[in-house]
Amino acid sequence: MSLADRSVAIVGGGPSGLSAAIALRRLGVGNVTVYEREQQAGGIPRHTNHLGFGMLDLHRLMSGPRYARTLVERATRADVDLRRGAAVFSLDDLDADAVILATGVRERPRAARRVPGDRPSGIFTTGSLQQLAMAGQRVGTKAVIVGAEHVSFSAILTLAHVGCRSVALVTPLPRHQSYAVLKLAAATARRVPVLTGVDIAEILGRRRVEHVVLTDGRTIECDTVVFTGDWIPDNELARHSGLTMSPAIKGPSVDQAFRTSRDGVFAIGNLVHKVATADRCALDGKAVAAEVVRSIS
Amino acid sequence: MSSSDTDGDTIYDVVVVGGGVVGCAVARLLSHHDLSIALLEAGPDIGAGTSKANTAILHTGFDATPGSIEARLVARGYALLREYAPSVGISIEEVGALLVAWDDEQAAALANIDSKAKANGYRHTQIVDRTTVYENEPHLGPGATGGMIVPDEHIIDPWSTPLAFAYEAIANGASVVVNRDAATCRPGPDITTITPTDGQRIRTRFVVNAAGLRGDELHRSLGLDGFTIRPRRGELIVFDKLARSLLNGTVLPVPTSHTKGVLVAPTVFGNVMLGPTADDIDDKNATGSTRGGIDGLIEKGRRILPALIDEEVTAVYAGLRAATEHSDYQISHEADLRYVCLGGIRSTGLTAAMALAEETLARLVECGLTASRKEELSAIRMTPLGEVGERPYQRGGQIVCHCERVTVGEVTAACTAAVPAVDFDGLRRRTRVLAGRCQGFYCQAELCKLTGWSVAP
Repeated sequence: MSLADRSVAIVGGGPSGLSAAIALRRLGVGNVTVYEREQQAGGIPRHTNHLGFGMLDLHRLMSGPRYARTLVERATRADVDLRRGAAVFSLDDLDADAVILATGVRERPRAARRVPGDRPSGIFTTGSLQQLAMAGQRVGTKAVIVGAEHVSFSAILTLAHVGCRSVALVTPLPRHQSYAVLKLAAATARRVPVLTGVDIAEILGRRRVEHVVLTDGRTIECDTVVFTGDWIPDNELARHSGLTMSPAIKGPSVDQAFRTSRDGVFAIGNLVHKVATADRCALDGKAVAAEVVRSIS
Repeated sequence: MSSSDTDGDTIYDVVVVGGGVVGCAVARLLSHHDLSIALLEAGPDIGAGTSKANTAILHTGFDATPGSIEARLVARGYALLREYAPSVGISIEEVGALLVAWDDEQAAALANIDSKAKANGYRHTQIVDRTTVYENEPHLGPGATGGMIVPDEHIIDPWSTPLAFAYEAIANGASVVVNRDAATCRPGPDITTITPTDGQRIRTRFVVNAAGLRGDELHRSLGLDGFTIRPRRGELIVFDKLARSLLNGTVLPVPTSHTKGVLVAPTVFGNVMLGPTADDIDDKNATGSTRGGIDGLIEKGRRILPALIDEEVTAVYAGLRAATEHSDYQISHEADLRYVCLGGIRSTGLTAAMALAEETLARLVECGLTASRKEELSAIRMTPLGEVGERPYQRGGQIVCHCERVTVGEVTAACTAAVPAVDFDGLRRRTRVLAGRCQGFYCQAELCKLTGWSVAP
């Protein structure tokens, strides 16, 4: 059987999944299907409305939404069968010669971080914040940001965009370990106080967030809390499929050829990296294509 | 009448104060009779106070105090709800429970619990050795010395239960009014006048106090005494559905006189729940979780089911049980006031609710109410939210919440229900949206679009 008669199913239509699909088609695989559970493909960059995408894979700097659109267009031009609103609940439902899992990653929300206190409205992750911003929703007026990763700074930009003042960025990391974010904060006019070596002890508020209490006893008045970073792979399908998991990443264990513990099943992108940038994940897609072709040839 | 406003001229036959699971069950049963009924709920939604935060277990009542009102009503309520739930589409599962003794003293106490169960008329308990304990629950931590199997314990959807009661009450003519408290309650010779904080008076012949945490205040406003509510806070941790395979049924501790202790239980939604704590507090609004509470539960959970602690937490919450200085329910009626009080209904209220409704009707009749059963009743149907049974997404509905696999159609239905969801918390209880592992990372914005609601203050 020639490659033109082979089929590959890809679960997840973000940067890594789409890039894998495009590369597989270019290598001559006949049937490449991407299953995207959302109504639109493109993954997290769709909602990250600022520059910082595409450098490694497309060799130009673009915004998240533009980057996502570009990948979707290229996939469509490459005759990838891109199915939207198509959630995959079991690998057994897929009829393909190889499967690539590219289900991506999400931020740990407040509960997963076991932050005590009341349960008022006004608590977000960067992911939900950015989607709300893209939808033209206002979120609040005064925000405390939790975390000191690249995405934390993305949250500051998004909050400014929706007219919400960032009153503090809080991170339990010591000052020297949150250097990247401090540098970013200093590099712009967004003078957000960065509180290092301290964490959120409690969130208080009856209906709406009223203030947060820090572990050093300080209280910050705010109506919004954004939990940023602290990524966890969206690993439900991988775990239900019985794949061997990496305890450190919480995604499936893969070898250098992106092979999981199950024959013919590959895993790429942030499902296996957790905190790689979108373009880095896209490179996975390109790289896995060659491995998949080798395995089905 | 649906959940619209009460009519100023109407004189209701019975007003039920409190839209928790108990008040809703009472309204449902009364609505089966030729009576005009109103249920008043102080908050913006029913089932949103004490009823929203519990362990979601349908208890056999095997460990209740024999001879107590609670023992009688839990046993009766168990039988009623076990039959009702599947008939209307409330998810329920017979998973059974295993009491685990972790030392010799606890193992010795099992015999007492066994006789208690028999005194309560429950005969299916079975004391087992440690080998059987681990055969039943292979993921338990080391150190169990023995146990007792209670095969008939169930888990149930605790949010759909009061909703189903309320929907059915409305379908049979009752009014359910939210954002309406009972600030003052003045019984006259024939008519009692309830004046809520918003000033819109409501007149009724009979009053049922199902006001939960505020039940003692309503009771005292009628010049009665006998119990004081001292909230007992229970914190609970809900773990990711990926933890479900660690557990077959509910794992109970050997209870003490103060509380049933910390249990680990599957939920009908496929999660695993750890808790509750038991802290007597003074603030009836203190539904926040605490560092000490969470850390304490994690520590206990690590001993009971070590692998559980490696799983992600999807929710931490706290509920307040309407505990009193007494160990039993505080149920009473005053014929001259045409008043029935359902006070001190603690964590067993979910199980006992339908029996409490029967008890209430009997006492109302003793107070002089004439209630004849309607010849035709309207039935309702809930969309089951549990893992067992088919859900709308499996019939091709477009999913909006991927963690809990909730469809657009379910969200729309919840917003137009007989008691509609008015905020995201209400939508969560009705559909499971935002109740999953991502907590809105993927779907919050989409839900704003679907509902037209804002997340801004």
